[in-house]
Amino acid sequence: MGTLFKIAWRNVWRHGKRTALTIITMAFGLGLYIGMDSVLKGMDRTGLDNIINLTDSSVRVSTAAYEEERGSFPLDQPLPDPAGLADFIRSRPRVLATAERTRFVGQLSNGIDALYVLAVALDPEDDARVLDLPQYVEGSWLAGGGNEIVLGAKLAADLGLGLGDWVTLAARTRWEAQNADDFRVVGLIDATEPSISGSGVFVSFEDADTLLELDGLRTELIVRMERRDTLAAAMEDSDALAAAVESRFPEMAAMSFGDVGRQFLELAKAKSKSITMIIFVMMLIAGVGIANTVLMSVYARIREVGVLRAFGLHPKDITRLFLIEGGIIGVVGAAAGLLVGLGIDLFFIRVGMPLEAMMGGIDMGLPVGGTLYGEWNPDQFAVAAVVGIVVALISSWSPAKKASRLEVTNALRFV
Amino acid sequence: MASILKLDGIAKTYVKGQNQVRALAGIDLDIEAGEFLAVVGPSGSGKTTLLNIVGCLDSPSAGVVLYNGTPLGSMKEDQLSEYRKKHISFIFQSYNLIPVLTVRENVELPLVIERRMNKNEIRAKADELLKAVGLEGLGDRYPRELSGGQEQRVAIARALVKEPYIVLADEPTANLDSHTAEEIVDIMRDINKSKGATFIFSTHDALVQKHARRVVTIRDGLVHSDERK
Ligand SMILES: Nc1ncnc2c1ncn2[C@@H]1O[C@H](COP(=O)(O)OP(=O)(O)O)[C@@H](O)[C@H]1O
Ligand SMILES: [Mg+2]
Repeated sequence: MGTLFKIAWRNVWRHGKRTALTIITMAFGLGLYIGMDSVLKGMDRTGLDNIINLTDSSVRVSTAAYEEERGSFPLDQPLPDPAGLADFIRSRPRVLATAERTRFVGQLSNGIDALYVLAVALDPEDDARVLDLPQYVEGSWLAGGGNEIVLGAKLAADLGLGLGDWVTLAARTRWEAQNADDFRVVGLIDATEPSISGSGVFVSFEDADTLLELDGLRTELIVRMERRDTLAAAMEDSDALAAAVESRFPEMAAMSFGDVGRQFLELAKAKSKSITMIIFVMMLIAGVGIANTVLMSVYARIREVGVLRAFGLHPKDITRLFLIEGGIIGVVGAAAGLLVGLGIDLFFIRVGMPLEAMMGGIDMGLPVGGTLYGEWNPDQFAVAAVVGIVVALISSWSPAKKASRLEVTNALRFV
Repeated sequence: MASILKLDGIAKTYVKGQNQVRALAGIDLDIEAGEFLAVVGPSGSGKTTLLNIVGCLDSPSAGVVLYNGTPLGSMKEDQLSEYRKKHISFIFQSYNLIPVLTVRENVELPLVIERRMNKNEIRAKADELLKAVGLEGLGDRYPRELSGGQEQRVAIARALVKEPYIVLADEPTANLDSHTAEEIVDIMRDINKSKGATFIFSTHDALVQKHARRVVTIRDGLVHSDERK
């Protein structure tokens, strides 16, 4: 009924401060929910893209024995036939390229300080076809040979190194002999994957062969597959290829992007759970605020309820009257929340948050580095709107019922 | 003339914890359509209780109220709301206008609740009543912008707008100065004459009382005297 709405609407704004506070709480909570969801989704996507494009590729193959000891990056578990393996993989559907890598533990020294690092020896051209590392290099990517080294930007900064500086990389060779060589820093790499900027060390096979006496030893094969639109499809492709590799080469371990991605999403889910908790608490506060606002409204208008009843309004109409009041706060609060959410979304999608600058280089354990971007999340706008209105209606239910149960004579006598 | 209201042995006892208060002790009363009846008596004699029972805002502990021959006590909440919506109107001592509604919206309210007329009819009717109580042109004001006498006139317009059969007014002039009080009773009497609505009002003001056509005095919850003029 129009008049009930009119009465409710005008009463809602009669106590402007109280109402505004409740609406702000709700808008803040819902807006934060939308914004955080956008950032988390963006973080997930960047994190997953990082896995495929920067660290592990779609499928990473090594021997099963190597995979067991992966933490120590041993040099005694080479791929038995890297070329045969690569041929097989390239014959599979949706495979675009493969590249070989050999990881090793080294000690990087600027002449004063030394740091243990996990270095990667690679074929600069092949590797660039599988991963996107060169896109993030300041200076130049490895040319192959000539004692060049590319370092993570933050690692270089920690050691006080810049482009053109020389460093010493010491490591145990394949035959357990201590060896060292000097390298010139040709590139600094700062990718959205924090581990690359923080600890990335890349040299070419030409130079690593000498340093580590590799003699063609390769421990890992990485694979670029076609980009798929959905995460699920990308995971499926990787799973299928990994399974094919393992059944064709039983002594091999093929790590699918699917496995890594699912682990990653599990972690991300835990994070989004804590966000949901925060939002839950904020909605609880907003709900209590609305319940309180409506209850105050009921107490302030007990006599009015008596008058309306005396003129023939049914108790149900009284319930409705106060539900409408709560509903108005809910709708306005939700609308304001969507606006706040839209603002946060726009900021994170258009501008992004420069993590380094914000955190001052402190490692927050985030799965992405560089600038953090958000993702559009229209479904969460709908969720927020529904949550806001439902919270408002639920919270005003009990005071509205209370009002409808007032004895008319008592209500009229109330001063 | 047939009685519109017949009260038969109406008693009301309020129970508050250990205490029992006997507000009405057995009231018999016949009220005819179109009467202009004052219920008088000292404070605490049971006037408000009696009016509330007639208006179905409260139920008696004993006795029956017959409205056109129908016992009100047997009605359920839905029927009670209907009865109050269609047949009865109230005027309160403290006006009780809805503060967030304009004067006109207040007067329109019973018609809106009744849902019988369309918007234009309702508006025309409200303006007609505002004119009848001498408040023409004040329809867009809010109650807080009016004097007490003006507020009570709005309340009268609101009570009369749906053309009820019975108007119950509990001390309608108690908050007003004697001059304004007489004006208000005059307006009530005019409408009583022109529209034929039955008025039952309580008062302890002798000046107001003298305008009544019938004065029922209650004392200690019983009818003490019943005079017609
Ligand atoms: N809700 C109630 N609970 C307890 N006692 C009441 C209640 N309403 C009225 N009374 C008592 O009933 C008696 C009659 O009250 P009331 O009808 O208000 O008298 P009047 O309107 O003539 O002043 C008084 O003693 C009053 O205290
Ligand atoms: Mg009284």
